[in-house]
Amino acid sequence: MNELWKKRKQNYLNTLLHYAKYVLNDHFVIALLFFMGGLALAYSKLIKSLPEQPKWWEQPVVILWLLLWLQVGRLATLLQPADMIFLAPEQYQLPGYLKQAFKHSYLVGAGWQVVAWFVILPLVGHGLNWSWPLLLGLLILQLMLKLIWLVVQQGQAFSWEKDYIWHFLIFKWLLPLSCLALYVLTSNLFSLLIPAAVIIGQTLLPRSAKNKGIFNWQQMIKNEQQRMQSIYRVINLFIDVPQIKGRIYRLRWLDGCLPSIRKSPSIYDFLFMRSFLRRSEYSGLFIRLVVLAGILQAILKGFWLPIILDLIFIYLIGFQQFPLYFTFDDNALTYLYPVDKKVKYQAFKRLNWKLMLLAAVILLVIGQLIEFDLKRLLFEIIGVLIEIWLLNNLFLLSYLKKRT
Amino acid sequence: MALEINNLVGGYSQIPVLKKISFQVRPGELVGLIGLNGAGKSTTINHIIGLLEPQQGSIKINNVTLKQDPRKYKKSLAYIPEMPLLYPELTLKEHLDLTIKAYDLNPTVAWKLARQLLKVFRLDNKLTWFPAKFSKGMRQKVMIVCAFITQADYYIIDEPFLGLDPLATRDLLELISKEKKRGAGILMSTHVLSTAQTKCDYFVLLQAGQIKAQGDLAELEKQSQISSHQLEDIYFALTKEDRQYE
Repeated sequence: MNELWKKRKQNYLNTLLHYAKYVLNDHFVIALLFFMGGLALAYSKLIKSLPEQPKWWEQPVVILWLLLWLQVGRLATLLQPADMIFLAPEQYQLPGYLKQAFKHSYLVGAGWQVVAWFVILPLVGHGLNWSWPLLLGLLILQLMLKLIWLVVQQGQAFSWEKDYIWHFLIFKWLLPLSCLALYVLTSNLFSLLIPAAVIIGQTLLPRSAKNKGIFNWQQMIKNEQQRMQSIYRVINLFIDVPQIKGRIYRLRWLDGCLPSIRKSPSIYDFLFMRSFLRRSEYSGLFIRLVVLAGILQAILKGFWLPIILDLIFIYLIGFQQFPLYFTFDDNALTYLYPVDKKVKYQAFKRLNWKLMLLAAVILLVIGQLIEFDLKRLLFEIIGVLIEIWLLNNLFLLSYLKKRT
Repeated sequence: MALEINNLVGGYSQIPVLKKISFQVRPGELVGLIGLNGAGKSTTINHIIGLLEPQQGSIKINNVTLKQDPRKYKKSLAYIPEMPLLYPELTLKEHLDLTIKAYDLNPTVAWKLARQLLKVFRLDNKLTWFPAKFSKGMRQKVMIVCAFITQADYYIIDEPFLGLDPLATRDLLELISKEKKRGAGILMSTHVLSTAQTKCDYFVLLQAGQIKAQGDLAELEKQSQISSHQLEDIYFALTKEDRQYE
């Protein structure tokens, strides 16, 4: 079983590495770096402007930040659905396997906590004027809370309680919230004793329960699948992940926006619009990019910066919708309909043009609301229109040529 | 006027699966395409509906090949696949709308027919459902309704009885005989020999990419050189050699 864990871990890391390669190649990274840079700039300005006397919001922000980051880094068991059948005879060896999984998960989870601590450091050090021992204490607290968090998660493996959700609520949210609040508000190192006591309790108590427990395969496999899905979903922000099938939502309230079959110039207009709105992978991506660009548009000021930003994001929004063109290709019926193939290309262009225009209008309006500047607006309108034309003609054609 | 397959050689790669097969589906005729797994039934169907291109030979519907006039060719054809093919993002009603638009049907006439068919297959109260909510049998019924509202000249039906309940099977067979009377030609591949025997007018028996026998039941019986009126016996007699390979 140790061998199995090693192999699985290697495969898992390879998968992540494989995707990392693509993610780091993608244009989206440029946008994201831009975004991070913008945020970092705003953050450092904020820290410098903080007065000696802490403001009322500083402590709650620290607590909330650490509480939310604590939730990052789940238990990675790397179990697969088929394990339920193939590994069942080896069930007695599972605790060894799980121990390895736990070790790995804790290292990764703790790594994330160090990052979170590092990011909040300037605020706590500068804003709250904490000394180094207190700052280190905060890190230790966060690492202890993560340990408790993971132990509870692992406990689910041998638990058949229907309301295990209560354990989660208490040990993943309420206990951390109280410990963090106590520590941050009183800045007393002695409050670290509480989580320490909980950890000792956790190691002593469930031993007996663990030994007689029956492994809850279905639950653990479900957990693992959900974990992988959420990782894939993050990666899916950058590139297509085959494991993400995207969910279909009816979104009844949007039915009004959908063209009826009579009003659609072709069956493809009818299909594309419905796919875009109802398939989360397309509409979701569109909304995420517009929101990200909108936030940046509101933060960044100047003449050229917003223009460049608009152009980058319109490019991303237009480009990321291109795969929609192939959505129906796995359905042979689309091929059988007595409809001219050229119609499909035209219909796709119509939709993509509308989407990019919509995004552009939203971004330009936000930009003008933040800082009214007619000259900039003129530049933006001309730039965006040229860009949309290029994307919808030259870029789209070369993309389709590459894919077919 | 017929669906004619002439000396068709074809398959998925350079090595052909089908070796010079020829048969016809005439208006008002139900042709049963039978054969073991891997005999080439689906490959034949994929060629007819245009998913594969013939390497040699030709397929004509009313004297037109797919290359000559794709619109006319495709309009004369409706297809019910073995595995239902539905758009996950469209409701049942939208599937019907799409079909009507794609085949350029008269919406009033087509919807009138659609409502009758939906009622027969007990789908009339599920117009706003998405495919994800349908069972395998229900999806198959959606495909059947979509195909039959086109009122095409020819129907290609691949293994239609899998997953259908007995009531729906009976309704489908009734529908097929109605369409036959209207003058439509139907090619149906199936493993359900008892049904094929009573319903089909003509049989094409495929074996290893070749036509082993074709004709009506009496002719098949002659070719098999056994004295039985059961399609099943004839089928076993004719596929005997092939089974000896295994």
